[in-house]
Amino acid sequence: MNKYWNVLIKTLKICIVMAVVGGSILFALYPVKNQNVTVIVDTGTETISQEFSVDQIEGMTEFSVPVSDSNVEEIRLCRRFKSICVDKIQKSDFDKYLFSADGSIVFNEFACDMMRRQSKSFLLERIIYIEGLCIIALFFWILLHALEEKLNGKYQGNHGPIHEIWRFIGDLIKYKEYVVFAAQADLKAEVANSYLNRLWWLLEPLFNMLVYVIVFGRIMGNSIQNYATFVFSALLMWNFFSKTINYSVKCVRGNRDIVTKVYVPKHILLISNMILNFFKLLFSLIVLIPMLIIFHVPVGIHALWLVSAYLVMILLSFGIGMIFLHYGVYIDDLSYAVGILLQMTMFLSGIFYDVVTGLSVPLNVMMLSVNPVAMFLDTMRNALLGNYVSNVPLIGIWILLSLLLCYIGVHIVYKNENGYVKVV
Amino acid sequence: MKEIALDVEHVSIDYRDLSHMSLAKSLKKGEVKRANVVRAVNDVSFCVEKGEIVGIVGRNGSGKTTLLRSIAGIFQPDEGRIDAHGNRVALMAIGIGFNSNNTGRENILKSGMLLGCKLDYVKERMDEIIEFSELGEFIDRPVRTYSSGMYSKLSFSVTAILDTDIMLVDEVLSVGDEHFRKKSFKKMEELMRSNRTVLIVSHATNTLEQFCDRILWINDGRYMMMGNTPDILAEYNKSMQL
Repeated sequence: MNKYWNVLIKTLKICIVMAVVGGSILFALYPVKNQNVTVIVDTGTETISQEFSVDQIEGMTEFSVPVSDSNVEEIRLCRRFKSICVDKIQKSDFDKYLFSADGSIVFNEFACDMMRRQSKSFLLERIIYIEGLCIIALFFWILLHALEEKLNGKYQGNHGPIHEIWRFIGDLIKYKEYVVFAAQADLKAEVANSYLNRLWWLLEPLFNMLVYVIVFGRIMGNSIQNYATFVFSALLMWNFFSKTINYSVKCVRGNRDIVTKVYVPKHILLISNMILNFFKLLFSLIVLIPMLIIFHVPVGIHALWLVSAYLVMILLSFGIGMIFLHYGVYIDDLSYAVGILLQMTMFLSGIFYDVVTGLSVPLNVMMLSVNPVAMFLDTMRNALLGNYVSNVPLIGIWILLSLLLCYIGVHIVYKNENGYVKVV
Repeated sequence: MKEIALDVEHVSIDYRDLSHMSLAKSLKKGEVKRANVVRAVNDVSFCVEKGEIVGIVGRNGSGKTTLLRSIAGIFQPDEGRIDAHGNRVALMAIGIGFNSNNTGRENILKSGMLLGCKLDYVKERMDEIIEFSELGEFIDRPVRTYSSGMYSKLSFSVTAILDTDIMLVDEVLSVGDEHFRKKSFKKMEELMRSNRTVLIVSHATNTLEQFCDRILWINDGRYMMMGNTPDILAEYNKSMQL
């Protein structure tokens, strides 16, 4: 009986892979018509959006958008997903693309070319649909895998995904006191014998920021407004992310004292470290808030959207961290590989440049939609510094994907944690 | 017939020798599957009655510690079943989760919580622990400033307040100076006599003779025999003769 089930599951798994591959090819190659392009003019106090239809864009050499306030900060273009900006015209490039006549701004032929190019492109939408497909496929894959494990009885403690999620929550409740206390104690230990004490948590990102501002702001030169806050706000998130991932690789080996002597769910150790990193992040906010005030950044109600960016950051770092935690136990040189990967991610994620304007046109949306770090940094900055809600579909996709990654990580660790003590 | 506190049925535990490989090696999946499997505990079954003190003897590397860890729940056995009948089990291990940059007090709390106590419970017993550890004002200094004797005193004291139904002891009977050794020995005795189920792994025959009701002898991961202390120890010592 089991044999037939196994064959069935195998075939279903192959079907899923084929569906993903086939669907991706379909989404990637499906011929689509040109799209409407929306121009959003942001004046800092109001945003005017005007949609141009395909026919309008086709032959135009000039177009205008009426604005009441002539002090325009930024102009964004977007297509189907209104919250994802596919190209931007920055203040410093205004001379090239537009001039303001009374009561409206008039865009020239370069801007029209830009619109036509965007109208033809479908890359962002294709990637988003493929990612959606991947989420569904991954979900069914997890279900099938759970079924397979159940039937084969390879993994004894397994009572299915729902049981595992309850166990995870139960563990979390059981160890909640420890998690918080350990994070506090580790924080204290970290600064106990240093002269400048807690100040280090401030000084580290602050001096990093200074270096970036000097190198990328002054020497290389760029036109981003409020460059210091721009870099600093992203560095805070990046530090959290990279520290969590780095720790996760060495987590079990570093805690061999604990792991070999008592049973502790391994995610407790990781979460404790994440809380520690989050404390530091909150502490650094003490610098960020005065910076926002000094540089006159108008923080509005839409800044609350940065919570979603933080949510993606936390879920994603936990999910990836759990997976690395498992492999870090067995593989000696994983920390080198992770170090290199993190460094690459750091330079690709636009901590010191704006992904949308910094990269050339088809590459920028690709980076935004494929690289979650770039995405959450961009979202956070748009919310905090630009005061608008952005990247809503991408946030949704990555929350779902991160949740699935978290589940996979927790599952792998629960399944294999028996072996960890024997290895470290 | 007394109440059974702990059942160990046909327990086998494997050690997979796949520790510490390189990234390149791990990418070739076959390597992992071909890793050596060492059977550390092989088909051991026994049961312990409530309030009984059982000693476990055997040569080095015969799987005593592995068995104890498995009973403590640090890892599940690969085969067989361990049933503690709802009793709380804890391995008496010293210095769990100690961070040398934290003060003694913080380490007590952290360690106590790892051993499964609630924060409030550990706080309640804090004075008792500090008094027992004889550390005085050192308790509020970082542990890295402690001498090794003070360190072991502190770590033993944390374990001594453990309030579990089944206690597993893995050679922790000699810490500190002569005075503290006597004191900890007395504390151990007190803990064991308080109608608690205890499993002790030890090489010190006289300790076992003094405490244990029964002895379990395992050799090479296999169950050899189990029975009254004098009989088994005599057999065991005979086999250990050169």
